[in-house]
Formats: sequence, structure tokens, C-alpha cells
Amino acid sequence: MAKEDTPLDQAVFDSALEAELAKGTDRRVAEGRARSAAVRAYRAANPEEAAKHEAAGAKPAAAAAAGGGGTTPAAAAAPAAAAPAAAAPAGAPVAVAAAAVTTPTREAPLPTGNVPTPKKGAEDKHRLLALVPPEGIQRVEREQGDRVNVWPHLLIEEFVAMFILLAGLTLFSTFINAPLRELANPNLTPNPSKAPWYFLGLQELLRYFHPMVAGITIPTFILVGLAAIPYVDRNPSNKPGDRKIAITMFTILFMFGGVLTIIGSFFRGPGYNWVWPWAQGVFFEL
Amino acid sequence: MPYTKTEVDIHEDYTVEAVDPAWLAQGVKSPKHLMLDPDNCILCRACEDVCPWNCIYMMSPGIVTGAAEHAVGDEVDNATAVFVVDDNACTRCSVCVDRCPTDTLYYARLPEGSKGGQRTMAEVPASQAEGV
Ligand code: SF4
Ligand code: SF4
Repeated sequence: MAKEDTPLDQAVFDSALEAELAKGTDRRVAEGRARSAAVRAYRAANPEEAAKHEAAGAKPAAAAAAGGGGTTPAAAAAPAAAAPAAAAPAGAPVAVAAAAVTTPTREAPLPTGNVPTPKKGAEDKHRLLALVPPEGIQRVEREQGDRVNVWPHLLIEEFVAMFILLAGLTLFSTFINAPLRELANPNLTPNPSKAPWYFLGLQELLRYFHPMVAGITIPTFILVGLAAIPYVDRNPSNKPGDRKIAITMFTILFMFGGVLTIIGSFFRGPGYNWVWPWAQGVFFEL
Repeated sequence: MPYTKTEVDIHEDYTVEAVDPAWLAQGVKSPKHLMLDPDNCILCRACEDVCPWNCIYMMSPGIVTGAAEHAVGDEVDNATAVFVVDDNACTRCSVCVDRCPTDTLYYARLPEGSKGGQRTMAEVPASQAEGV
């Protein structure tokens, strides 16, 4: 690791460390601050050596890129750019020197050899990803917020839901009569002959497509597609802004189904021909 | 030797400020950015370990010396660890996202007006650490 290799000014390190510790700073932080001060002091005092160090650090990367067969111009150019950058702050004021010295040296992994370099003019900033609060993970006994076990948590809820539904259905069918119609008369078929309302969207499709397409292909496509959603859409976010495509697609599909069902229910009359419900009446029963 | 990772000089005197979308847009062109949900993180440092470019770090909160907002400053003082990513170097290679054993890392768009989402996380990345 470069940490051990970095030459630093031992005197500055010791005095900075002592000063930090005297201030009551945490030891890890104090050592870090002292080390950074010492490295900066050393590089300010020995600009040529700092430049050499940068070049030496960059060389293996360039050699590796060449050895790997990929003579990437970007990789070759990077070390050349790094050297002047390190040498530049020699005569500059301390603040600038500190900023330039902290420019990270990155060596490329072998496969590509492309060193990612910040865009020109981009400030050297790091984004704060997260602050881990003390009550975070270390408290192992803490219940994980959004994950529960299937048994008992989920299954109990499902059983309760099942019993409530069963009780409701029993009560409903005790008090409400739902008779069958009279026996069918083959000489008198109903016209129009409509499916239950929830199938009228499909029946409407039959007006436009071959029965094979309307009755099998399209429903299969929709059912398989719905089942595939969790495998296609792996986005864990639950913010609507992060899943615009999914929401748009579902809305379109849903509107198609809704429109077809409404047409099939209210705008189809005898012979399954188009009617206006306000003119010819409604041919619809639940 | 497969490859060398050079230790990047992490600053010891960050101040936390709000993310400037223009600054963020200068990084690798991707509408989504790395996110970390601190609730699930087990501080294993595997993400730090695998990143080929050394651009994600878990650090002691001592590296932050100031914050533009008081609330954030208090949060820093109480924190166990601070995660920092160098968006300019991150190539969105997803190595860390795949490596994380607890699915803590993911990609998402940054909320534009800061106080956006329902997650704690949604507010946190609205702040960033600036090296002085
Ligand atoms: S996505 Fe790749 S480059 Fe970015 S922090 Fe993760 S491992 Fe590093
Ligand atoms: S790999 Fe995941 S759990 Fe481990 S420190 Fe990184 S974010 Fe946290």
C-alpha cells in the first residue's frame, strides 16, 4: 500500500500528532491529520522528489497497460499529466499546494488500463454517501425494518384474511339469493350473448382479432408479462420518480383493458354490433 | 500482481454542503448515482475493498470538520461511520453494488429538491463533503 511508502516529514508528524492528542482528538483522527500534515510538509520541501514519486507510482500502470497488449493512449497520457501537476505547486502558496498534492493517483486494473480521470474543471469533491447512525447495524437485536419472516408473520396474516373472507362470503350467501336462470332454450338464444363483465374486454378483442390471437396469445402475453415484472424490474426504490417507465406502461395497459371492457359492456347490442347506450338502450346485466 | 490500488488522499477537513447538480453532472455521464442505505450496512468495508478505482470509502466521522447545516453537523457528531464516494472517478461499474452482502448499495437519481423521499437516505445524499 502506498500508505507505508509515502515519505513524510517525521518531525512535523510527531509535533502535529502531539498537538492533536493534547486537544483531546480521537487517536485515529489525530494520526490521520498528523500524517496528512507531514506528507504535505515533506512534499512542499522536496518538490522534485514528490514529482519522482508520482512518476514512479504511475509507471507500473503504464507498463501494465502496454504489457497487456492494450496500448491505450489515455493510460499513457495520464502519467505524463500527473507529473507536472505534482511539480507545479512548488513555488505556490500553501493552500494551493495542499489542494494539488491531494490529487489522487489512480492506477488502472489490468483489463482495461483506462484510468478514470476527473473531468477538467471539476472540483475535487467527494459526495457524502451516508452517515451510519450508532443505532444502525451494530445492534444485532434490532429488528430489520422492512423484512419479516414468512412464518409466522406473513402466513398468520394470510390465514386471518382467509377466515375473514370465508365468514363474509358465508354471511353474504346466507342472506342474499343468487338464483340460476331458467333452463336454456336452444330455439331461443339470447341476443346479444355477453360474457360476465370482467371478460367483456376479451370478448371485445374477438371483434378485432382471430380467436387464437384474442383468446390465447394476448392473454398469455399479458399474464406472463405480469409474472415477469419482478424479474425484469429489479429497481428497489419505491419512489414514483424512479420508476416512470413501469408506471407509464402499466397505466397504458390498464387503460386499454378498461376502455375495451367499457365498450364491450355498454356499446355493444344485438349481434354484438355497435350501439349508443343513450339511443338504443343498454344491453348489459351483471 | 493483478493490479495495484493506490491509497487516495482522503481529506481530513471536509465541510458538508448541499449537492450542486451542476457539479454532479460533471462526473461520469449517468443519470443515476450510487446510494447507500445506512440502516442495512454492517460496516464490513467490502465495498471499499472491491472498488477497482478506490472511490468509495468508509471513514471515521472525524474527517468532517464542519457542516453548512446544524442538523447535519449533529448527525455527523453522532455517526458511527461516514461513507464518501468520489463521483468523478466512480465508473458505475457496480462491483460494489454486487459485492455488498446486505444489498445496502444501489443506484438512484438524486432527489433534486433536497427534502424529497421517504427514506432517510433520500435526504442524506443531498449533502456532500467538500475537501478544502
Ligand atoms: S460502482 Fe464501481 S467505481 Fe463506483 S464506487 Fe462502486 S466499485 Fe467503485
Ligand atoms: S459492502 Fe455493504 S454492508 Fe459492507 S460496508 Fe459496504 S455498504 Fe456496508
